[in-house]
Amino acid sequence: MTLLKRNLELLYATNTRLKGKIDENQISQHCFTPQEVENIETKFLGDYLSTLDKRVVKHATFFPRNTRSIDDWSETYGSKYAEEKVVPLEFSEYYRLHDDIHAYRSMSSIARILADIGYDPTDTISMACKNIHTLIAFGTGSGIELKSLIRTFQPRNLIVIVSDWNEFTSSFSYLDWEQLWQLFTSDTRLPRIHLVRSESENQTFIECCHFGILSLNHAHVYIADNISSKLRMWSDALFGSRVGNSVIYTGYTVDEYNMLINTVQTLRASERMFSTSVTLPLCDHAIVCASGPSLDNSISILSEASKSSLVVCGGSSIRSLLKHGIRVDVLCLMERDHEVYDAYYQLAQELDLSSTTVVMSTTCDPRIPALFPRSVLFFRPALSPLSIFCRDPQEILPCEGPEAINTAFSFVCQLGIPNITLFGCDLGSALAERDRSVDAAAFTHRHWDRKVPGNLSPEVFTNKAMLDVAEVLTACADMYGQNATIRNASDGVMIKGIDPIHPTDISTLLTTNQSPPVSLVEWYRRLPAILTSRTYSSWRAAAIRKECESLCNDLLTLFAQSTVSTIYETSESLCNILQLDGSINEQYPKRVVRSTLFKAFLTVMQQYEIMRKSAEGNAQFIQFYDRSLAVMRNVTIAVRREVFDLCDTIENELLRAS
Amino acid sequence: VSETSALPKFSAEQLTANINYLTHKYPLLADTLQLDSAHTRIDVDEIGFKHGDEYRLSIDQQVVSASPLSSSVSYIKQSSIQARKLRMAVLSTVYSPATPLHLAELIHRRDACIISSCLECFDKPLDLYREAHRGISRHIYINGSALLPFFLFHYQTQIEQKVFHSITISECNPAYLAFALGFFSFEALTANLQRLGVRLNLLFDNDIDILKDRFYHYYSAVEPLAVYALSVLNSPVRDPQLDELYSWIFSESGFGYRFRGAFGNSTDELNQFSNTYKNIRASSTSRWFKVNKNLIKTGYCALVGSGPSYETSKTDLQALNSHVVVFAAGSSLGSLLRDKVKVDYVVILERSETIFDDLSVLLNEGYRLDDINLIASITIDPRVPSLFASTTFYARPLSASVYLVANPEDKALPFAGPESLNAGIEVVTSLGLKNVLLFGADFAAIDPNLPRARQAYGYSDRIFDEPVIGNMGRTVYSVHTLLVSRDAFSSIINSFPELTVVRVGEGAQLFSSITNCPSLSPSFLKNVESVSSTDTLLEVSQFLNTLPLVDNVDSALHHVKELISLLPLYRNEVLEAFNNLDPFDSPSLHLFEKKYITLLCEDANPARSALLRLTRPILLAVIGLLVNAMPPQVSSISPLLSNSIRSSLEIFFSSVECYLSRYVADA
Repeated sequence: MTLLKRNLELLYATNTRLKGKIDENQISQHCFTPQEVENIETKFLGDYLSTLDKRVVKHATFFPRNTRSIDDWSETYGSKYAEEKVVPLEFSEYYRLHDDIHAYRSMSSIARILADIGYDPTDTISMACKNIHTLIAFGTGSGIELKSLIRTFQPRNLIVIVSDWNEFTSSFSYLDWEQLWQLFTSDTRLPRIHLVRSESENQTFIECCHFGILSLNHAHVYIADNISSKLRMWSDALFGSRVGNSVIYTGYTVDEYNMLINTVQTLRASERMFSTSVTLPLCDHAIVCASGPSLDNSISILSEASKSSLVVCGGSSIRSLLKHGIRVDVLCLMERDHEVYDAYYQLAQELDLSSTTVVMSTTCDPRIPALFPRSVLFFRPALSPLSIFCRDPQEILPCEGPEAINTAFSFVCQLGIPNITLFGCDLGSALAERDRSVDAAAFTHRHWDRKVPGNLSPEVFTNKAMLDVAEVLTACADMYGQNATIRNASDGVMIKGIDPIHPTDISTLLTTNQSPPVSLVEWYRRLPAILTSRTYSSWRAAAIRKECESLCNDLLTLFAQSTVSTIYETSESLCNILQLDGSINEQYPKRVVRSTLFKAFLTVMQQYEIMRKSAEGNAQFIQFYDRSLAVMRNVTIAVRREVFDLCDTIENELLRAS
Repeated sequence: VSETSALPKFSAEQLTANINYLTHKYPLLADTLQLDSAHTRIDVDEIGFKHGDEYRLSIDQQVVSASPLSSSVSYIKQSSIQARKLRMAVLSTVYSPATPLHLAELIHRRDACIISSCLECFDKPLDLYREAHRGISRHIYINGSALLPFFLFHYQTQIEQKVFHSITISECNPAYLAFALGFFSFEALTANLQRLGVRLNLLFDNDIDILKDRFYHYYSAVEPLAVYALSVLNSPVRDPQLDELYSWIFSESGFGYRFRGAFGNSTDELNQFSNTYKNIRASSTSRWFKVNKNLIKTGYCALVGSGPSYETSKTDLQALNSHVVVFAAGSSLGSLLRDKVKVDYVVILERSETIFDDLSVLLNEGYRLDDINLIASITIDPRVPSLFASTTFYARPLSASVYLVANPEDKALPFAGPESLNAGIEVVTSLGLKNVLLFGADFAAIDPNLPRARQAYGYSDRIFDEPVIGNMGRTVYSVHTLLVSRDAFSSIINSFPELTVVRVGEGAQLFSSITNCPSLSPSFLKNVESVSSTDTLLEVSQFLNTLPLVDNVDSALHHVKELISLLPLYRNEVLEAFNNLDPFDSPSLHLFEKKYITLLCEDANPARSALLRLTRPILLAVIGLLVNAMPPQVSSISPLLSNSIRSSLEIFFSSVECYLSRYVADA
């Protein structure tokens, strides 16, 4: 029986649904001579090795690698968290911090270890050598090239991604898949080979992370010539920012602490919880304001329109309106920063807030509700307090970030108001020298580095962050504003899916039979009440201490058992332990510790790839690895203590209240 | 359920009809609902745009819950997969095969269940037992009444086929219950379930702690077989307080250990019975404890446990030694003697023979016990009393051994356990002492590697792996067995409102109104130092020296004989149920289970009750295993398992009979 036939039989035996779906005639049956095979392999490997920097995945670096980054690093962290100041740092001192000091501490320790063993931290050169962690193959080509890569680099894991099964069967004449399967399964509990057909870019990236996000570090990538253009495009994700973001966007420890503390306090300080189902008809028209510079040109129009519209401000624009005597019905906030409170405290001293209801994230500063006559809380969909305190999905406000204007817009969409008009939602500026409304509260520095088509002007200045805001507004309008007529009267960035309207034309939207928004108080009254006893029950049910203890014990066991020879295995186990797909109660401690440990372990793995290029480096790495593991053990123990302190703080607060 | 549109609809008229029905049948529950409907407005609005699958539940127009019904529907559709199973793992210890003759060898063992040794087909059924529990169980618990209409709708065929034996619902919010009652006729439901022999139980209370108690009492007293395989369905739409209940149900320190602890194990019960009989016969000078119904208002007592905080607080205790009556709870006696603290009484609960060895170590070290008075459970090792100056026995009310005690009401502590420290607080409060100082009563440790006072006698193999909030507001480590003891300890303190308790040292938080302090303040020390312990000691001794034990010897023997005579009848009753059991027939299994539930309930006849307590842990374990591994889940192993369990029970009863007869022969 030919290899092709055996491979086909194996395929059909393991996946009967594929029978009849594979075009067997497409599979090359051309027989290469051994010499031809050798020539193909030699040429391919030569090309591969000469373009290695385009074939190996680079993960984010969290470690200062050159003189400049070391200086920058010291400037950012060194003066603030010099070791003598941070060890030991009282738990209460974390409150109001916005820096990732846990990652800083572990990186500092790892940097010291490197210095102690005498290895140059600026050496970032790694070399291709055998026993790599992961080989990711997009398609299998003729099989000759893939086989030569496997033989040369001897990967621990093999991931094969295809967009069509024919991209897999194309290798059947030259690759013995039964043998390959045995190679990657014989000495292991779980298969180290992952073969999958992907249907999207997102799925492709997720499949690449099959052995954990850390396994992408220094992963080799093979892209077969015969794959579809879409699969080729999807493979680009491995060489963009997404790889690094997969670790960067795992949050950070101090932020998780503070979000939880804020949530507990805001739940105590507020009376009502937002619910997407309470959609009392407030009025026919809502104005949503942001603090773009064009807001100032619309003040007189807004003054008139506000008489028969619900006025909702996203963050700082409230001051511009109040200062001109325009009533603001709702202020929407989502940022956790404590400076936000200072800004609104100043505002409360200066202007009358008695007719404004604040709608804010549970993670905002808990002192804010006291500045307003009514406060309503919502849960942010991607943040950890949700996993502990939210029991009704309707308490979540979707598309609420990254800026307060997103919160305001999403909120208005959820209310079911039929007409919505955006003002000052510039997300940039028609004039380079102006970046926000003159009277807006607080201060935000914006730097414009892009020009894009404008909403009312042909072209406007903006930046990447503001374009992200626009993207979420578009998605929100698409998902939640389908029953509303939404217009944008701002002289700023053109927002896809939202029609422009000149501010002066706004009067055409306002009909005489519109009632003033008196029903806002009624809407507030109908919202679910926040009861301390319920908050306490949710907290007790989450059993965070117990989950944290169990997680930390798993981590400590993992670190205690790891050696250099099992470094890849350890990285995979670490990713497994910290995966968020367990029960909702298990999530919080994982969220707290995962970013710090991912960053630390990734740094160690990156150092492994650098140091193992020489025999001396290999020997030094053994010492480096053992001591780095001790750092990670200490981080785990410290975080466990801190989570207990956090629980104590929260429980004492809650117990006192109940 | 094929389409969401086929779902039942909420109807205000249905709710009103149900309230009217409940007013006649269950007035208390109806009152709760009436109150809400009279004073507030309950609205259930359908707000879904597409399938009518979203609702908004409001009380007095304030939204209580607003969730898609579709989440309940999809949950129910997936319930056989999603529902968590509560499974008591009593049958977890495998022994080598034993015969009745080996029973004596098992005495003094601490193992959970001796019957498992008799299950020859043990390995196979256990595997299949696991297999059986992949589907939904016969016993259903629904956490949150809003899910009930969807459960009834989705499982209507299975209900008619008598697949389910019991359905229990917990609720703490009348609005959710009102919501559920708007979907179906409660009267029709109860009538139908009654016809089918399905037990329906609604646990309703606004207070989540009371609800936990009701859950515990229901499953321990009424439906004990259910806990071996209970499908727990958590309503996606529920009051957040029910999350706490749900978490408690699956927690070892919550429902799990409390349930297992309450039933004990048969080995322990037999050993306790044996020790009680021996103590009654042997102790010519010992006395019975007598509960004092009046308060001893003057003076202070110190109750000392062997928690690690004892080390930091012992200087306070040493300073007060001559001003307080010192009660050492169990192993703390070692610490106190070694620290030269004069002990007036030691309270011992454990029946294990190792206590005698531990006390012997103290004697060998040169410490004297003959100036200390022992207050001990009548179930302790009979060699222990001879070591002390005097012995006063208390009875354990929940043990089979209490049957051997004549008029046990005044001689028994309220619970007598589960730890010596619990017995200690029960002794102190039953004596009427009003001012109590607690030392080393930690139920936890700050450092899990230092779990007890250094010089406490014996050793503990507890692993402190459960972090909990401490009495000083910071996290301490505990273990689920101690947390259950802590809860029992708190409830004893709470049941004596006039008690003044000062707890010195850091440990697990008690749920009682007491004063916590790391050490006693100088002013407090001064205050106690102004009091002498002599008068208090005198008063206490009055209640410890009144009832001689020797009076009970004849009645105890008589009771043993009575048990022996009753045993064949009881055994026949237990085994008779097997004769009518057809493992392939669901109704027959239904009857079998009902029979056992009746058999397992406490009986007014004390002799029968004693037999029940001796044998119940085993019956619970094996019959629970049997009924929950029966069809429709697994049919092939049922006859094998049924026969095996029947023969195992026969062996067990022969063993018990042999065992009891020995006492009569000895007498």
